[in-house]
Amino acid sequence: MLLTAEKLTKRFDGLVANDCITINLARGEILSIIGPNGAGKSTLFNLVGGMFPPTSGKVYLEGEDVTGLKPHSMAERGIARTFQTTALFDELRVIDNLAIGHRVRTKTGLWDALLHTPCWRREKEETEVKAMETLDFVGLRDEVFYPVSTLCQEAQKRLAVGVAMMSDPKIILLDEPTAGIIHEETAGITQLIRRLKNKGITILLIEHKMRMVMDLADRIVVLNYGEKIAEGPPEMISKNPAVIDAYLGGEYIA
Amino acid sequence: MRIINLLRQRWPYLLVVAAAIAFPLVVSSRYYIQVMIVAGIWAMATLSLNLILGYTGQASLAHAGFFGIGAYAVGLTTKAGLSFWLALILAGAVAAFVGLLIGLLTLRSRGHYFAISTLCFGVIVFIVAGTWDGLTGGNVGLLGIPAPASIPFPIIGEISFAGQIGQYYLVLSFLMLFLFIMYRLVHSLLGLSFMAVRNNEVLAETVGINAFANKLLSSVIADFLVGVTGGIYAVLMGSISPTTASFNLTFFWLAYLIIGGVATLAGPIVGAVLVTFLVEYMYSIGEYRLVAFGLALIVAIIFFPRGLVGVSVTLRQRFQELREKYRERGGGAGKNAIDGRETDQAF
Repeated sequence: MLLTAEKLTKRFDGLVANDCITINLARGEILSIIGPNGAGKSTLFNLVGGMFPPTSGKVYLEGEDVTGLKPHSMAERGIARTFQTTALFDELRVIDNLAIGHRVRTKTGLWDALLHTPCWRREKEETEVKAMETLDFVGLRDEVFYPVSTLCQEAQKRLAVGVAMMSDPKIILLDEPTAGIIHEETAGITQLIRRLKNKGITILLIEHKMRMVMDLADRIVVLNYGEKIAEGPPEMISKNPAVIDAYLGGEYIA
Repeated sequence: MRIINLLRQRWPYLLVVAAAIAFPLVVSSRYYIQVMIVAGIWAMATLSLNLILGYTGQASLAHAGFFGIGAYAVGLTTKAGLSFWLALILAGAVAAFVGLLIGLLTLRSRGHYFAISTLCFGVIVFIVAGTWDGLTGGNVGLLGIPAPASIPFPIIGEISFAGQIGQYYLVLSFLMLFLFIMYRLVHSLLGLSFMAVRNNEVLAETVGINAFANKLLSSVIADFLVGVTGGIYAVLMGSISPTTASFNLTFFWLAYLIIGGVATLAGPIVGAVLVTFLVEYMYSIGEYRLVAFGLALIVAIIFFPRGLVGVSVTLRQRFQELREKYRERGGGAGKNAIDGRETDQAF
């Protein structure tokens, strides 16, 4: 297993946001987490991403215990993420955002910056090359020097994925990658996620658009009131009575 | 070819540098040269404030405290016989070390809380300078700090810092050095990390940037630089007192920064030189000049958030847009979407 979250529990002042949730993420798969609002999906992401430590339970990445590490340490170990409300460095340009995304893989320090050492030059060039590759991948090459604030919502979503890719992650946590964009534009994002998978990146996906989840996910985990109520391949989940009852609703037809 | 390109692209900057070098040779008024020396020192202090406040987004109000620490370090050690140049490095190191300790404490807080806790430290330095009679000379301060020894220099023989002109070039050299340091920092992956922390600390952490470590490094560099600035101030003025560490100075530098342009390279220099001269010029109206100063500050904050430098950049862009429009109408060459000067400003 690439990532194992074992019996994760998170309590906020008596509210149990995650109750003894175990998930296993195999290398190269897309695991989707679904569930009604308030089911604890984002909390689970935050526990895996290191935003806050779990009340109990463990997180293992490639067998190593990474429970309670800070987000920057998680990123260093290969866990990247995007946010539901698109988070970018909106005062900076597209290229700067990508360079910052790659920063965790570079070492340029004070003296390198001041004296323009070989390390500074090598990492600057490496970052530029990687940024251009990533821009090609997410389809934003023409916008390389644009300020982020001039991009449309959908382009910002793609850039956020690009920023996450820049750190050469093993896993990307995607928190509702199509939130806030119109239906017609979700196809592009779906395709982008599939291409990420083809690149060998493992994906943990929170998404509400069921057609997209059924289409993309290798496996689905369903949360409700902080508990895992079902787990399995899409076709099994769509027929699971407990899931239909809690989330999909009686009239859902896969 | 590179030199020609450099001249073509950067001639306005080179012109400013040339004017700064020629200034004491053309202007004979000792008064104006003195104002310029002081303005240059304030510009250095403001440049370093811009690193932590402008580029890293942490409103440190302890800056004059570190300026004072550097000034007292140089004053005490040069009076004890240490060479000025060694004393200057020592001043920076002491300020940086104290800055490290204070940063370890205060940088755990954010926003207003960080500003208030650093302000408290600034006030503490001021009080200590005024009360620790045995070390700092109390409210009288340190008098008779020796000027730096002359240094050998080709062609001229040697440069003496006893006179005003030598002192002017000393300040100008350090100002250029500080500007160079800031330029290299801002256009590096390190500077970009600082800006990432300023712009969105949560996201910066998520993409693998240790926000606390970066804030600490930025503030220690800024404290080192302002410590050196304080040291230069001490030897050029010849005497220092607790007011050298007064938090009032921090607010003046903050005002220069806001008027000149926060998070711009030229802003601190433009703000410090312009405002220092204006304030001197308005001496005749007495305390009312502070009212004018306050008004200018309010106008800048509300209407020109990136100060005078921001205004000039906007004007230049408008001018270019107009020119492109004019060219297009005339069926001229295709428009260049990206200003060449912007593109080479990558990290």
